[in-house]
Amino acid sequence: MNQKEHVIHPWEGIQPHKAPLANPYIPAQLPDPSVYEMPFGFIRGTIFRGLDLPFHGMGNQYPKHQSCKIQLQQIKFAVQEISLYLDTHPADENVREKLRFYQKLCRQKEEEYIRLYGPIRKEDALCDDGYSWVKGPWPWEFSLYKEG
Amino acid sequence: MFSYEKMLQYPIKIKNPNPRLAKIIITQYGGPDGELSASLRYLSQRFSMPFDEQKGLLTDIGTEELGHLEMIGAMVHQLTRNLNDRQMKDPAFAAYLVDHTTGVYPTAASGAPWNAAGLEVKGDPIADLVEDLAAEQKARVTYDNILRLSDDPDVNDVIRFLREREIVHFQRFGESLEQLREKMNKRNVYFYNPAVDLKLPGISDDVMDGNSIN
Repeated sequence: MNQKEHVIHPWEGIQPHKAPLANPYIPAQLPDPSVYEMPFGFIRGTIFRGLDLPFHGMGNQYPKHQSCKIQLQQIKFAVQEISLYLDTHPADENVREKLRFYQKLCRQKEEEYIRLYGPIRKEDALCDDGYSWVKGPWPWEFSLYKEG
Repeated sequence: MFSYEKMLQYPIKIKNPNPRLAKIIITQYGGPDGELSASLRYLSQRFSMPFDEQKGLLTDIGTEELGHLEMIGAMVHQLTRNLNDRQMKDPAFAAYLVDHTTGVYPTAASGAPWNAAGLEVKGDPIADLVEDLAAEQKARVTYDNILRLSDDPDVNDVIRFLREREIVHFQRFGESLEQLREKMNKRNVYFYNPAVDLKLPGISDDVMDGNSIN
């Protein structure tokens, strides 16, 4: 017997085990999947290597300039991406640990951001110079500044 | 409850206004496979989901889609800011301009206004999740086509991000369908609709699990 063990790649899922007829079946992503570094996962639109399937093979290549705001957006993205994974893989303890890590990081980074640039939510503390909630630029506005 | 976070999910800085491109991209704002349809589809379907897993996933993805709606609106806004005379009179944009100036209105690229007929809430978890799988694919193809038509790197950076989200959501909906199936009758997943039939007399846990004769 000279059987080579099958290597499981990140882009492969768990095979359907006796999947029922007349029903669509999407293979589940493997537990504790391989992930990108955060700044790269952010520009790719997914932190999971196996789900990174760009059109014509052309995904974004260059991570964003790591400003406080970009870092916060990256962390929030990680929280969202990991949460969606856990919605369908609630038993994956390794990934639950990753979520706890990013949740903690998110609270710290939000505090820093609010101190520098003003509230993210109405519940956040106002800056010293009056009612800063309405102060622009609002998120959809074009701005040449690195922050804001 | 929903409350606003004063921040986009992904940064958008489009240096060059381009109303022609705005007219194409707006289809993901108010077209049948756009982000408005997506968010309303998921956030509405969740009410009739019988199990927690699907309630949670539809809430999480539906909320993310609202963030994507804001991103598409931001792109349309930035592509139509400070237009010069020539850009305003661009025949590709004039029909939009005469009705909405440079306001962001939910419409398809074809000019058809947003319509709830582009989404479905069937009230049956299998039917709804299969609709969601198809919806993610259609949105993915729309983003593919925007990438075919656009040569603005500032725009394409964001479109690639949004397109990849559709693929991730497709995967999660597929996994959620399997989670659902595990809770239903093993021999016949179409035996009943768990959104309405769980409280009927005669539908016991045994029947749900497929342990009794059926």
